[in-house]
Amino acid sequence: MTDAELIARLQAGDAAAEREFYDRHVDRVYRLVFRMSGRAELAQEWTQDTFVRAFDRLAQFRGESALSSWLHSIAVSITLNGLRTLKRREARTGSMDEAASVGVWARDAEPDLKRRLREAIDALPTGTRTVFVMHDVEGYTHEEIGDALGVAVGTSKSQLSRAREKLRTALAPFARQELA
Amino acid sequence: MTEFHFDSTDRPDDLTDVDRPLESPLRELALASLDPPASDIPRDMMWARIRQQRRAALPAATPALIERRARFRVTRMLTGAAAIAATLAIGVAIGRYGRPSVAAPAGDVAAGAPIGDGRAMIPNATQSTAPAVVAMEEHLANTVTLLAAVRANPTARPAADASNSARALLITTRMLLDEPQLTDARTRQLLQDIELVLVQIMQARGSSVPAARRAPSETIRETNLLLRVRALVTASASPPAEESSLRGVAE
Repeated sequence: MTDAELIARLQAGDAAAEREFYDRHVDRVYRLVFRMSGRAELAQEWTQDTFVRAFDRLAQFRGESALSSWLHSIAVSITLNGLRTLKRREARTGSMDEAASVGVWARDAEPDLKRRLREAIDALPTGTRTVFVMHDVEGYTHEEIGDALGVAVGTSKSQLSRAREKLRTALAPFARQELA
Repeated sequence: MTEFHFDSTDRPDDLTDVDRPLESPLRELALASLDPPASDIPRDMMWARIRQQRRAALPAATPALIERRARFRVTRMLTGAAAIAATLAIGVAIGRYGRPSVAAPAGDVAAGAPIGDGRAMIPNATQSTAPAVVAMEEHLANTVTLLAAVRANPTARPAADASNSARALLITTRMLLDEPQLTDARTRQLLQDIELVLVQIMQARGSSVPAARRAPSETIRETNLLLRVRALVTASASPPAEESSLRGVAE
């Protein structure tokens, strides 16, 4: 079934089409939300919220972007708003730029390099981290990132460059040992 | 538009792209460090919750409920006598036997369980700590208080907290109806009857029509709902038969 056929069936209220739509996109949405939030329970909740909102807004979808891009922009919006709400609830002062960590990975005995990289990613400003995760981890193009985040392609590129530079700096002590 | 915080040295008009892609080992490490846990993505559970959220957002009186209510009115006279007989059977069985039978086989629970064995309505209930079973037991315990209050005041307009309780219980009821472990027909019928009453309670809160205010208590009475729920709550709170007998012998 093509995207256009699926959309037509979804907008007609076809329950089987709803499940088909969900099955096609849930893994990628979940991985994206998990990587942005770092917590399984948040990934589940915000993935659910993404699909609920998508079903509610299907009638407004005009096909100006790919269905997957549209869905993932909803996922990004919900996740970022959720992270902000979480931060306010945890009563941290300052903007999210200063947050050392909102997503928390509870893992034991991580290799030092992986831990250092994860900390470095988590320390990135929210928007910068989002661009990095979407481009280098999830494989979105700058055009798709621009659509999802409402920023120019140039901004997406420059933020990605900053993210990479910061991560390389954070991992410099390991460079000879691990990246040679 | 969503507000984003970027690097403070960001110069969005700088389109010079001298950036180098991440080295392959570094990119792979980033993927590995950000990956979700090895356990599977809980697709079915999330789908069930998505359906439940969407259903909860629907207007309280969905066409399906209206139809079921109408069907119920037509058949209630025919089933009234049978309901009374069932009530008597349940009462006798509870009073005479008291304790549920032990470890009913999973496949036979729904078909073969005596009407008085409340826990048999919940598959594998006697020794099960399955989340669905535990959730069902807790849900029924929470529901019985509300049903008893409504039954005791059949014509009164439900208080705000009763309506709020009904709304919360309705969400759980619908989640349990979606639960794949709870497939027994009598269990599902019980949950559907609970769903109907909860919707009627919420509607009665916002209605000045006497018939709407009487509807929840009438449904409770005519389906013997309170008795059925209490039987299950009582049965689930009782220890297994041999445990009690052993305790008696030891003492």
